[in-house]
Amino acid sequence: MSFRNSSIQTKLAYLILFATLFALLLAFVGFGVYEGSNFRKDTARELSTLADTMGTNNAVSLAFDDKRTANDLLSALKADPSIETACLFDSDGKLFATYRRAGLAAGTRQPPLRPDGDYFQAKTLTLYRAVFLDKEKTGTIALVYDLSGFRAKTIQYLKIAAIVLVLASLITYLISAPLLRTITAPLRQLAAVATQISREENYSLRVGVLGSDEIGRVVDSFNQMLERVQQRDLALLSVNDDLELRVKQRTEEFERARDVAEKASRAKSEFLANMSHEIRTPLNGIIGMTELALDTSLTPEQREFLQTVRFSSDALLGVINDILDFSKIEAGKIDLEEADFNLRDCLESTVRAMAVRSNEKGLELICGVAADLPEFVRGDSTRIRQVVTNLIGNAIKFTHRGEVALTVERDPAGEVQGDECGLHFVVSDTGIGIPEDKKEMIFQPFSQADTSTTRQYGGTGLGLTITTRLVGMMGGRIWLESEFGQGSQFHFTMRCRTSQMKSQAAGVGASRLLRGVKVLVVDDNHTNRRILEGIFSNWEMKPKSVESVDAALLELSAVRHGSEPYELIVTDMHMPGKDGFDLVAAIRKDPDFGNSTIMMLTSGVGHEDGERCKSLGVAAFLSKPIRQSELRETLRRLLSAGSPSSAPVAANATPPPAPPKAGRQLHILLAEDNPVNQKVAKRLLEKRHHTVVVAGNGLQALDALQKQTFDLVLMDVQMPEMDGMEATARIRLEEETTGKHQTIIALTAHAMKGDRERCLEAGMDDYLTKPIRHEELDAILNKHSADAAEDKALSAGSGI
Amino acid sequence: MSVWASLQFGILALIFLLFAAGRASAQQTEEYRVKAAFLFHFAQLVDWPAPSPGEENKPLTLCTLGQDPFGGDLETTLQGKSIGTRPVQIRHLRQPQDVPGCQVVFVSGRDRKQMVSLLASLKDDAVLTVGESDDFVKQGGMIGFCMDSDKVRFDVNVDAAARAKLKISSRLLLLAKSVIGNHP
Repeated sequence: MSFRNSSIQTKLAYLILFATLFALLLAFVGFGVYEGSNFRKDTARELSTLADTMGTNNAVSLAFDDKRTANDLLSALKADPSIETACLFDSDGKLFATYRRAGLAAGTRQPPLRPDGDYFQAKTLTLYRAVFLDKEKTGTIALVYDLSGFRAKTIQYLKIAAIVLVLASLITYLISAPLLRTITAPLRQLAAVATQISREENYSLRVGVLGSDEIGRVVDSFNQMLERVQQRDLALLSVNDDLELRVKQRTEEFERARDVAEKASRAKSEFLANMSHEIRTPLNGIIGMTELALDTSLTPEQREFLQTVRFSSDALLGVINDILDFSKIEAGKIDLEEADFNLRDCLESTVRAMAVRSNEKGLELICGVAADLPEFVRGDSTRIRQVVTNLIGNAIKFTHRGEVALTVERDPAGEVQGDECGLHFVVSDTGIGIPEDKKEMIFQPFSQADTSTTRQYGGTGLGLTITTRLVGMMGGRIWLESEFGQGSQFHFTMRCRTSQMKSQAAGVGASRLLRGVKVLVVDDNHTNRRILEGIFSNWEMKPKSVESVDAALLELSAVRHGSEPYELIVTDMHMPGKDGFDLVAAIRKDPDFGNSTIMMLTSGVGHEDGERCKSLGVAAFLSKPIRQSELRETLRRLLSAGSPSSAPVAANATPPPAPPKAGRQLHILLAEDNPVNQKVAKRLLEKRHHTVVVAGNGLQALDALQKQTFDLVLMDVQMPEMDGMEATARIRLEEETTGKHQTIIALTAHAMKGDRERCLEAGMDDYLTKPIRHEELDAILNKHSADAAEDKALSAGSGI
Repeated sequence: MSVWASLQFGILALIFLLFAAGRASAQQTEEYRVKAAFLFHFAQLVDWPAPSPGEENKPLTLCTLGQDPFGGDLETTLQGKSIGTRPVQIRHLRQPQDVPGCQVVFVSGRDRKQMVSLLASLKDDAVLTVGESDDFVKQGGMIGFCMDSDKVRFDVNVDAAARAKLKISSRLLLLAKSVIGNHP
């Protein structure tokens, strides 16, 4: 243990011991030095006297040159055994007589002549004195004194000193130990109690009173402190109890408040849902009936009126959807779905859906999805579609000429985890642009760049807010690059998981077929050319692009006689100056150009355009924006056919009004309480050649199911007497005994969170949102009629 | 024998004698130089009666009586010396009657008559008598030189000195070859 950490008793003991020893040592040293110096002085004086006596006697011997007498006289020195040697020098410095003590070592030398004085050496003192005879110097006498006696005395002295020191230490310790104990014992007691208190946290302990010295006072203070701590503990305890009680009260209050708030929130949600339902139901009727009316024979004036009605009701639906979305986002009630979907198809179809609006404004609408993106991803395709639609819709709204393009690339920054895929979307336009100081503002709710803009272009200003929130929820961010008057670029990123699903497209066969095919792209739009070149290069074709008909003809004449003519020419229809038809006509007119397969890209497919293509021998026409899958499929078909077919292939020629798909005829039960909706749905289905039985509520639906067998049930969720949920639950309950499965598709005006989940939980197979869109209805009917057919086949098989 | 022959022998004898005398003379010169120093030391080692007031610097007179064997050595040796406060003075005397005024008297050993008459005439006077004949101290002289195998030594007659009220230092007595009389 170091000295620092040793007990106070030890420290004090050491202190006392050191002090004692130091004082003694000091005394010994002082005394020793004094004694030593005295001894030397005395010795020198004695020796001096002796030398003088010897000198006086020997002066005569010297004077009379009597060495014998001199030696005799010196030999008298043997009386003092301390005298080692003595020498007598005559006045000329010559050695005259000597004396050596008996038994002196042989090597001891005679002292040489030196001036008078005392010469102390380690072991000897040599003293020189002149010898006078009546004031006349007759010689010098030298005496060598042996100091070994002095050394022996010194050693003796040191021994005694050591013994005294040891004894003194012992006595000091024996005396101080009990004294120290009287000091340290209370301290120990204090320390012991303090340790016990800190260990047991028992503040009721006290240290016994121990006199009134400093330690006694410390003990008193310590006891007082303990007293106060104990009091404070008690006070704290009561305060704590009080506090706990208060916390409990507050918690209760808070819980009550929370319950109230939750109730209010639920009420709000219910209200929204009801509102939504109440608004959508009549809107559903308006839209449905308008569409039905448009399918009848009308005067042009009536058709225009009805189209306006339809357009307005669509817009109203959009506004209502926006408001609903916004409230849901504000309430934090949007949850993202996660399902596998084909990213490219999703984006291309979304953009394609906007084509009608862009075509009306004469804008080029372009969709470029990078080749290295995964085919299938997991995510919420509906929300991605919503974001893209919103941004493209805005772009189209604020662009008067030029193009609107969506490009999608990989975003390496977004790929944090192994199976995550970062996507970077850019929606660029050549529109009015957004001034620098409005860039932040437009992302705020209810804001547009300018109030005058609002007046001019309309819109709630909620679209970008919703978009921003959705992008944020999908793990991305949105930003804007724009220069006023130069168009805008909305960028957003998102993360989605790469799906395990593999593309079912016949990519391999197509690739082999397309590899190395020389293709000439003719398009005035730079972005389009770039995207087409990218697509073709990705398919390992050999693309070259030119921007006009003249340049195309120039290029074709240049390679006319070459070994590798263009096998394929892809031309845009609408181009400034000479258009696509002019190019085709020029090529067909000149047989030198060979018979390359020609494909036409059109922005809108008019009936007469199709006719013209056909007459000019265009192999296929595709409406823009191009879907890659479509393009590939068309190319595969054209190139495998070997020669251009006489009839152009209208890849996606689905001109409105859409002729209902001649699918399987289904027997459908429609459970719907609202007469308008009953009528709309019934008419829609009957137009698709399905037979429909209508039930006014769940009970009626169950009755109907008892009586007949249906391929499909369209079940409204909200109905009087028995709603869709309950009816479905009952049907499913019954099926547990029969083992059959009735396909049930929910119809709901609730576009609220969890509706889909609730429907599926209740045992429904799918879900349609009112107002019913034709496309969605078709898609679902197709899907489930196939399922139903399979079921039938299976049941038939099992029946045999 | 002819006169010429006698003369020749006589001349030869004379030359020999002269040569011998020369050698003896060289020995004697060294001897007397020592004796001169001794004489001075004798004077030093005697307690002279305290001089009368006013005579502290009165010279202490050292005399030779009769023939002077020192041949100037005495003067050379004692040149400028003093005993106590008294300078040393040298005188050469012919007659013992001239002795009064001398403190030390040296009597050459060859002049036996002179020695006897001197000792007789001085009797108890406070004069230190130094001689060099063998029986000088026995005859009543105080200090007598003697030769001890070529080394000059001396005898002391303490009684004679005591009679003359002179105290000879015991240190001197320590060195004496022999001491006549009682001494502590």
